[in-house]
Amino acid sequence: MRTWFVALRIARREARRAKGRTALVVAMIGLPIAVLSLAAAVIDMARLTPSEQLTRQMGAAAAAVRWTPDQIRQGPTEAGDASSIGAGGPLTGAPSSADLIALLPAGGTVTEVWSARIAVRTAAGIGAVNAQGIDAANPLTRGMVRVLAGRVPRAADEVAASPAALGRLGAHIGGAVRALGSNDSYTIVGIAEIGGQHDQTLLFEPAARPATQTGAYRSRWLVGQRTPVVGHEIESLNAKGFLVVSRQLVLRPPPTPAFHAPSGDDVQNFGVGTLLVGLAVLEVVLLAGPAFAVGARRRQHDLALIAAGGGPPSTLRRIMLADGVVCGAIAAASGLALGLGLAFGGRSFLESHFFGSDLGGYRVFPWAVGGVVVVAIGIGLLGALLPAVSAGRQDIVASLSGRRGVTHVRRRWVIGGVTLIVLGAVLTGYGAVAVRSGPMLAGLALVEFGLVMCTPALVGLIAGLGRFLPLAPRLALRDAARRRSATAPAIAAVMAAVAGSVAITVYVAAQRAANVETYAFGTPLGTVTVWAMQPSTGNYATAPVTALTTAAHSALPGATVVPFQVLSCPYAPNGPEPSGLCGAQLVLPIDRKCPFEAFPSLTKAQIREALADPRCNTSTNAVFGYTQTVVTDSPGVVAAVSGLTGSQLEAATATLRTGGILVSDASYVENGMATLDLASADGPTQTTRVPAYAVQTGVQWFEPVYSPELLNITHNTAVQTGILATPRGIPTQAAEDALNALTLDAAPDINIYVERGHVTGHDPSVALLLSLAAGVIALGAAAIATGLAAADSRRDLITLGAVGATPRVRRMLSLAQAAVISGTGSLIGVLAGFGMSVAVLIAIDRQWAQVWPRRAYYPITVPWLNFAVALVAVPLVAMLGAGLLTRSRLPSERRAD
Amino acid sequence: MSLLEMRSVHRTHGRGAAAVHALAGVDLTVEPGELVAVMGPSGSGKSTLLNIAGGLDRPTSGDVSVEGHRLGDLSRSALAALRRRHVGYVFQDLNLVPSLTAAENVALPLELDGVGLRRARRAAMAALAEVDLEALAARFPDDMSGGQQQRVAIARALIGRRRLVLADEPTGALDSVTGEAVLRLLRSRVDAGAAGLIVTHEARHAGWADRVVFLRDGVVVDASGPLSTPDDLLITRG
Repeated sequence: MRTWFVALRIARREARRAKGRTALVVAMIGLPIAVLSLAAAVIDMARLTPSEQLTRQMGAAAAAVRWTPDQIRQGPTEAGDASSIGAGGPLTGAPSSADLIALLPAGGTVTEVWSARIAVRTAAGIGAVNAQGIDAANPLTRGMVRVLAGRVPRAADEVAASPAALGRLGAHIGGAVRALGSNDSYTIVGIAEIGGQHDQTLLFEPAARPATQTGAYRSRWLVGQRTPVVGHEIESLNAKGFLVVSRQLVLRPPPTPAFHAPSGDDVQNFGVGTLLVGLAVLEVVLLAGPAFAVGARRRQHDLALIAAGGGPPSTLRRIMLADGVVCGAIAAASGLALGLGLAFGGRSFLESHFFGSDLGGYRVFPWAVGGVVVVAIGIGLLGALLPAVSAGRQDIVASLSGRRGVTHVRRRWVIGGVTLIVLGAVLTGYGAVAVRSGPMLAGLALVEFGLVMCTPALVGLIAGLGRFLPLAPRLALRDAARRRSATAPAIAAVMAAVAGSVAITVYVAAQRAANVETYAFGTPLGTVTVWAMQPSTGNYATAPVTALTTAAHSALPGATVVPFQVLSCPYAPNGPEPSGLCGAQLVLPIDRKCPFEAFPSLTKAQIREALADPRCNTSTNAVFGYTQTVVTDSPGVVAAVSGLTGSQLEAATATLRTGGILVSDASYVENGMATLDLASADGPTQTTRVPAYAVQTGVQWFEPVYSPELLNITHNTAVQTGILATPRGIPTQAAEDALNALTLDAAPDINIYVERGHVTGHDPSVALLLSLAAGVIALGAAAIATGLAAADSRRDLITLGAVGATPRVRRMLSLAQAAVISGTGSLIGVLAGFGMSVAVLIAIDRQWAQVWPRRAYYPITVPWLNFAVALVAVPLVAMLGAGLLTRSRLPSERRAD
Repeated sequence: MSLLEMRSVHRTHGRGAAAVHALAGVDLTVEPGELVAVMGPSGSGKSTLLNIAGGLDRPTSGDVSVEGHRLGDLSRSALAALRRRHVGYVFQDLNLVPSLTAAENVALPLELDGVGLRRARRAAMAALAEVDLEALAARFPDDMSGGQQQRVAIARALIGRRRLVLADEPTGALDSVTGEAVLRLLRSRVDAGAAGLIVTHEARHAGWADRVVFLRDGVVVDASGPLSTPDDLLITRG
């Protein structure tokens, strides 16, 4: 035990004495620790507590209540959800605040809040923004509104705007907002955030009711009373059709024996999360180890002195391990401070650029702080382990005389390294196929350690290239091979950092690709659909096509614009039932119908059968763009809605001209024909077969495209409701606003939809944050590793200078050394990182392959740009660091260190 | 009992045609109260002799004993223990651990041997007092002169029960006056009952020794008897 005290004392003093080297080592460990701390704090702040969520949604109210026309019943734990037990609730028509107050205990109060979507004049034209009516002065709404400047509205003609809305409007405090439909003008009196969101929202006084786009307000009441809203009170409110979200039930839900079946997300997150954390620790150990190895080499003489003075090998090992403890502890403190400082200080940036909403209170997982300290010290110990073993086995005589000698690569290291790589690859493959994160992590660790063990041999191999190169790179390669014990750890550090960065980047790219794949286009990307509707009925209306076409050409220069018709299926209360094509259903051929239904849940055997059955190749989690029931036989319209060109466009148009239909699902087409069940107003459905063409451009429609001839047969009609514009590229928000303004001038009640594809919006992906952080760490590691190596070869540079080498030659040598280390490390790291990510993606896809209906797979893509950045930027940064570290003047110092 | 006994010690580096015989059949004994100097040209095996004597290196063949302990029978850890308790080294320079104070450097062998911190420090202070450096106990090596560092190294080399000092050119990095002072100190400690084996290039430094052994190509080619004055060495060699 006493030797541990000696070791720690020496480590502590040495850390203080060699501040520069200690700082570099601490940085190697501390950077990832800072990232971990940042992530821990950000994740904790992003996960709103129930109390925080309630405050944003319903301020200080005891409950939020919404009226439905149905009879409902809420279970004891269904906060906000209810089972409908029948249509036609007890109250006819929407109730008033007074109706609700009458149902509350004595002293109860309410305040109404509403939300809607309204059209306003924007800086570029006309756009839709969110609108909320909240009495921000009412104590019940406390916490829902945060005033950033000015004040909240107090009158019906006043409004406060969110910063995003203000930007969209191109307005300022004191300016005006004009709502379309009513031509009312509202004075902007303040800038505020509502509900912690950073979207485009206008805050009105509840009495103000600007005209909405759809005519519908979503209203609810916030209830204030002395007692919690629970039990019989909820039942009595349900009996009157009121759906209740009770603060008490959300904050203190009663215990239930509810069964929670793990979802696919749970399983994935657990496995992938474990893997990511394990890989992160592995990468950091590989980063820190070389730093300690370099430190051990620089202290070779001191350790040899202690050995000569009677220190046994165990003492030498303990001194190196103590280095790890001391540096790990310092790294923990500094990394925590940096990470938490960034998280807390960078809140605004994260809120506006990543989350799109306010984060919760300043906090961090309490166990994370202790965990980070343990991890940092653990990493320090693990990183110092191999150097400690080497220190205990060093040749004392050689170390005392300062000789390092030429390092010959022991064959057993190469054999061992190759064995580990092969073993690790097999284990990783097994883990990927069997979807087990434990074996996969072990396999990946073995592969990386194997690569590290083979690095000295690899350095020796590439040193042979030196004879073809000029002086500086030749010296650098030969020196790298000669000082393999220093070079190899530095290469390993760069490899580890680059591997981590590449692995995370590939994973993030695959995740995004999977998200994009789940999106179903209604029309080709960029297509703009402009149509008219009757706001009172929701039926399609005839549009002034000429005026809309002119507007589209003006707002979208270069766009192809075609008018289009839709199937007219007008709805009127107490009107006739839909018939013919209105309410028609495509009939799937019996032999193509999947025999399984997703619900109720299937057994494992049934899932396997469904997955193997080509008839059951349906997918879940799809997000659909906007589609309409188009009626046409015009090639221009067909091209606009389908994206077809050439012979396929001709074939599709020909099908329509023979009275056929276009479908987006080829399953419905058999021998060029499809079966339709036509609705009948007063009789059974009629089944008819029509020519059909399957459009396979990636669009997905709910309804087929019908031909005018078919409408004649089924006695249906169409209405020319708008235009389709196919611009060059995806229109910007400004172009859309301009089109909005122009079409409004042409006709009221015009709707515009731009097919923008999968919009990620604010994607606070933790993996994305880690990807960015890993890239920074890779650059930092390269600079640090080459800096350490450069410091290690300082006396060689002195010798070079003493024999007459110019400063330029010495600087070129340093640059070449940095290029060798970081270039080799980057190359191996790119390969290792890509291999790691492929293994993880295979595991995820194997997991999804066992789920039905299918989930989108994570495709394996090669991020060539990221590879190029890793292979070019990392060495460049390292060379820059080395160039800065190499002094142009000879320091007057003895050769002996 | 001799403090150091080396019998027919061989040390060969490499094999076959590339073999280098650093030592070839060296016999040497050092008695308590005796200071033996080892001289010879560069590459004659002087440092190898010293390294083998203290167990830092193992002979290819032959026997080495320190205070009756046969080094050939000892493991690495046991050899380290031997150096903690019986053998002290003094090198030409860089003798001290730079991150420890003078007192801590001197106390290091005791601390590594499990002696309590206070006892070890007391012993270190006493050892520093013997070399007149008590006042520098709290200084770090970087803040001391070369001569002071060597004196601290000598104090460490003889702390505790250590009686055998192995010094490899202890005055090589010092000026002549300081070098003389270091040797005088070493001589006084040997006279007090220790024993010393000192490698040196300079005849006048070898003159402090009781005997001089001459090495050439790993072989003892000459050895002088007790010297009256340093000049006797020159006469003998002449």
